[in-house]
Amino acid sequence: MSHARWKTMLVCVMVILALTVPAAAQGDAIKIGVISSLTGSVSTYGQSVRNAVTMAVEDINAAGGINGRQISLIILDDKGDGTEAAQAARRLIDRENVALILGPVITPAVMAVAPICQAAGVPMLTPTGTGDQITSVGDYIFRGAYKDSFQGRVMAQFAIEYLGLKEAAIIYDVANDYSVGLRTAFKTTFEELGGKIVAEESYSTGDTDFSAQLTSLAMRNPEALFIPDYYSTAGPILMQARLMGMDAVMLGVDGWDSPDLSALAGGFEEGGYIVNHYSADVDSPATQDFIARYKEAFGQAPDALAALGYDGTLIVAKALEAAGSTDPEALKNALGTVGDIEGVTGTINMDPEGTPIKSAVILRITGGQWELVTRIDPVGR
Amino acid sequence: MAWQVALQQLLNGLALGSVYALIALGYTMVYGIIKLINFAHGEMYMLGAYFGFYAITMFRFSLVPAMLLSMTAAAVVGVLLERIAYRPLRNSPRISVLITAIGASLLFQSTAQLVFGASFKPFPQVMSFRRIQLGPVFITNRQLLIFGVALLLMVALHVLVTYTKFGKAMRAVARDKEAALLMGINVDRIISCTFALGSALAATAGILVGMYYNRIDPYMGTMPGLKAFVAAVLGGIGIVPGAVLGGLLMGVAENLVVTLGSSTLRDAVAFAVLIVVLLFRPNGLLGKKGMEKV
Repeated sequence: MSHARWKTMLVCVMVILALTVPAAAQGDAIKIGVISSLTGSVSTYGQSVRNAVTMAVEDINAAGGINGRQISLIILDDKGDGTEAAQAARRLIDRENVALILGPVITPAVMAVAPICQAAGVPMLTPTGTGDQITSVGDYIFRGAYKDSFQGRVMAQFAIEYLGLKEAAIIYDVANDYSVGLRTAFKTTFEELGGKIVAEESYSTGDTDFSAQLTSLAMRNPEALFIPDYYSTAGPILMQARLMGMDAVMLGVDGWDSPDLSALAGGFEEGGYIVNHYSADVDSPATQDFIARYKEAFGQAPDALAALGYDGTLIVAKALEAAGSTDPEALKNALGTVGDIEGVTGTINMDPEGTPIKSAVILRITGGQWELVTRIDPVGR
Repeated sequence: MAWQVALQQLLNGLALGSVYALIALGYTMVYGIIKLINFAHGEMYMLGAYFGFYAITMFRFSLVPAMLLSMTAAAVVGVLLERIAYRPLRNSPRISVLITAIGASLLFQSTAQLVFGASFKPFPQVMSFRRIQLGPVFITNRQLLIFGVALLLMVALHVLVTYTKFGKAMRAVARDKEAALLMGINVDRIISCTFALGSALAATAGILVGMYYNRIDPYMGTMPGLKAFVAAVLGGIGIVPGAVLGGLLMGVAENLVVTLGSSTLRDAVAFAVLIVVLLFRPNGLLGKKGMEKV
């Protein structure tokens, strides 16, 4: 290489350094990547999470940021799809160099992202993913919600002890980990407590015709029907089940919580019960303040996904503060140990295993509104 | 009890089958006339559902006007599709047109996602919910709507194809395009009309499914489109009554598989049927040997 070329290269390198070093040294903003399902079959979840996360970050930044540094968000859409979620994660890690990933929203998408984050050593917290297997991917993976095994157990316990039911039927999605996990947890507990599962039917993600399964179920005349799935599928199932003449008590899960459920179920969701992360009826100041401000900002009442999105951001903020830097190792350790966070969904204490210890609520749909029935605290984990 | 369940399942299967039959008619008519498997046909069904959705929610139409509007709009899209994408390729190898059809299908899906949004939309329920007890079984008013509309359209189509001058012209073009041209038949116009008819039928199926299942999305046309294609092949592609028979059989077979076996086999059975038909009766159930023009 000629002398002149060396000189040119040296100048180039210096220019590049000059351009990049100040930005790094200033280090004012902490970059957080958000992966959310803004479109697709679970779009209301993703929109709620995005709204709440943005709101939480604005609150934190307005209050002076974290140890004097502002938070900047990079929000990507995964359409509720694992492949899209994985691509988003790669982009956030490789190109944007984010300190942490907040999201994705649903378990199948989380399961596509978690191994990438674990391998890259970038901490990840899904505010809403409930699949049991999520946190067993590794020590960099955290969540802000309860687990499906807990949720399924709570619903079975409630059905037997509170509603006094003895028989139930289940219809679930064999192609979705979330639905399968919930079905197993519900079935196990229901039978342990002396109940009987009289019939079980399944379908696959994307199916729209449930008439064959529901006809078979209706003939068994079960007291209750457990439908562990997202609102976009649970809604049409609820409608078709009622049309098939089923008068069973409908039991659901956090996935039902969406402003779109009622339209998709044709109003037939009325009287159903679900397990959820939070209730708007809880009288805590943190909850009520959040509801009022969310309504003002977005023109609709927050659902549980919004509440979890807000709390997830609080957990991350607290961990960043405790870690004192964006060093992945320190941040990871902080995420597993922070506690006493006064969130919208209650007091949150994180656990190094990755799942927070907090309570669940049972809600009933009455006149199109979710009403608090009872609150269930976690017994152990 | 068991036979009641079987009867009920048969009824459910026939409702689903009627939808497949309506879509299959379009496949079979287009194939009959220009020997093209129009893979974008499932998208007409999807578009029909969305046109109906907007006719009802935005223009406050009731069901029948919404259906008519949606049929017209889908017919226009079908005609344009043929005019823009297929006609310039009429003398190209069949594989080129087939690939164009697949491309058109993807284009429609992505455009629909862009324009209508990717979220699942609940279909506006403009009918009350009722069940009619018929002895041991019952039928919902939505199933009744599907049967009624499907039957009406099929009879109308049959009359059109068999007894009208237009139908005669259509059959002539299907038999021999050049000869038809020499007889003074406007072949281009007949082909356009065939696309319009097929698309309108698929659009109706889209609305009926929206009413029945209460959920529409930009990708809803893919699976039913493929299954209706199998139905058309099963009945004998190019044969109008064959599409109806194939559609009904497919619907019943699917419900049977879900009832007796596993729901995961639901989609598999459709394509297993296709393989079996192609192996043992490539001309379809109603097809005659040597139907295929050499």
